[in-house]
Amino acid sequence: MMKAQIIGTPFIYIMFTFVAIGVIVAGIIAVHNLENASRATQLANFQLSLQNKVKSISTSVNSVSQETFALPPGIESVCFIGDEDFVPYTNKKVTENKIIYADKNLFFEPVERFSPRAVSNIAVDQNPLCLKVIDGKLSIYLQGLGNETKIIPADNAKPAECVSVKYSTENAIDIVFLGYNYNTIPTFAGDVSRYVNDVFLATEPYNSSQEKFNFYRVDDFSLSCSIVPGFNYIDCDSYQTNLMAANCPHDYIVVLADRNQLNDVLNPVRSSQVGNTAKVNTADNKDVLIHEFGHQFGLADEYIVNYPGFDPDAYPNCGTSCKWNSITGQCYGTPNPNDNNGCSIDTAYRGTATSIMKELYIHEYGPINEDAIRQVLDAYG
Amino acid sequence: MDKRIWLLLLVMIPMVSAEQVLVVHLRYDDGFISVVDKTTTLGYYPDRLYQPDSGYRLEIVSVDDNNLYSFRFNLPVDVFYDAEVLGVLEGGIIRLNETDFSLIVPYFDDAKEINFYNERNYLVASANLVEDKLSPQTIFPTVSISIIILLALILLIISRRKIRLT
Repeated sequence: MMKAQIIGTPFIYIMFTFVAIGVIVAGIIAVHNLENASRATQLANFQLSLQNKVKSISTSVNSVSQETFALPPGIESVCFIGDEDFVPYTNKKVTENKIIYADKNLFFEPVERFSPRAVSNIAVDQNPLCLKVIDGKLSIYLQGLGNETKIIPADNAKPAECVSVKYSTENAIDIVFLGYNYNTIPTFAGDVSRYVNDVFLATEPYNSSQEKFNFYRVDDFSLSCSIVPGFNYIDCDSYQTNLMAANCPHDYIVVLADRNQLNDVLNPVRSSQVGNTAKVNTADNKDVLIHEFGHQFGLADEYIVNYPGFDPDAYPNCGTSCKWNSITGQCYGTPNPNDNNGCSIDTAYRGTATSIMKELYIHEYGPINEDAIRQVLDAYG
Repeated sequence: MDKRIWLLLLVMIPMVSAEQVLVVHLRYDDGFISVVDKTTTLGYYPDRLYQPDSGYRLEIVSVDDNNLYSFRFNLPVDVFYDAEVLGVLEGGIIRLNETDFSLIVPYFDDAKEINFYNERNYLVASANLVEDKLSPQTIFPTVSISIIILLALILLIISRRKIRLT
């Protein structure tokens, strides 16, 4: 080896070490930022859900509702501050923060990790009212008082089975998440939060219609599901699924089946949709939820399945003729041989070149599918 | 205020949340529908603000033959299954010849029967609801809860009298 190479070799090792450390540190920072962003989103959802519930219940004078809200991991307790007769709390940090954030009335412990928020028209008897968060859930009673809502502790009550993940209005579309094969609530809660915030509400037309959706979850993993042999899709006991879903307001049900990636590579399992229920394999591409919800709202597959007896005209996104002039004025499928197949069957047309109903990496429904979905959304508040 | 008194008051104040619902377990077998089971529970039923233009119809009839509740639905016999394999979306549709499915509907005290009609408006299945209301499983919980509330009130009154005497 030449002298220059001998001198240069340790230098290369040192450079490599610095680069490797840099990459690892950058990775840790990126993951930390993602977790912080996720926590911030979940906290925003809690604030919005609480505000909407307070507004909705306040008008039912003297009626009481038990509500359970989801909170991001790490929050130990929530403190509600009323407008009148604030007594400096035994916890010095909450009191100090109240002085700093005079316009906020919702504080989270540990206060140094979570920014305070504001919720209007709430009342408390004990001021401030600090309640413990258990397993990432806060269970409280809300009592309507006409122009405001009283927050009452639910210490001695059995926690409600239904956990509100994001609440908008009473007339919104209710979607409930059930879990299969999960071992812990935090894992399930984290998956639900990701599917709701990072997948579903990140996709149009849902993104611009967020106020039309309420999301809930049921932390009960006793659901009985199986893999249908031959077709390898997830199937769950319908009676049990509906009994469990009945714990929450629901128009649509999503069962998340927890599977790890390695297991799924060795034994792939398909997500499925039937009736008002979608069963999603969590090891699959997360956008499969968007595809399955397309089926929930009446869309057909746009990739070829060649199912005998399939009627393309029964679906808004497939047809035996070009019926989308008012939306796109375009048509894809036969007899144009340059297009990549038809719509579920190779003798049908579709209105867009591609969409998430054809390929998952297309993270959008396209104008025709969005138009069809909006017709369903318009029926709700 | 004493927490016990709060809890008692909360029990008596009307709760605005879940109501009684009926979960109906049905079986579809090659064109025929039958009612397998029914359960009354505290919970929620779907709003059904969006319904298909045609399809099967469920109807709940009262003891004096009024329509209490009805909605249209599609039989859940088409299963869409999908998965992404090596970056390509694949799957298919299965049309089931037989399947079990469930529907959740509101519970009515004066409901007599629940009827199912097919797309041609022919009655294809029916279930009697009156016998369930008189069953021990329905009466016992209601009576038990009433007795517990009454006993709790009596104990509260007695304890408050003892406090006054002392």
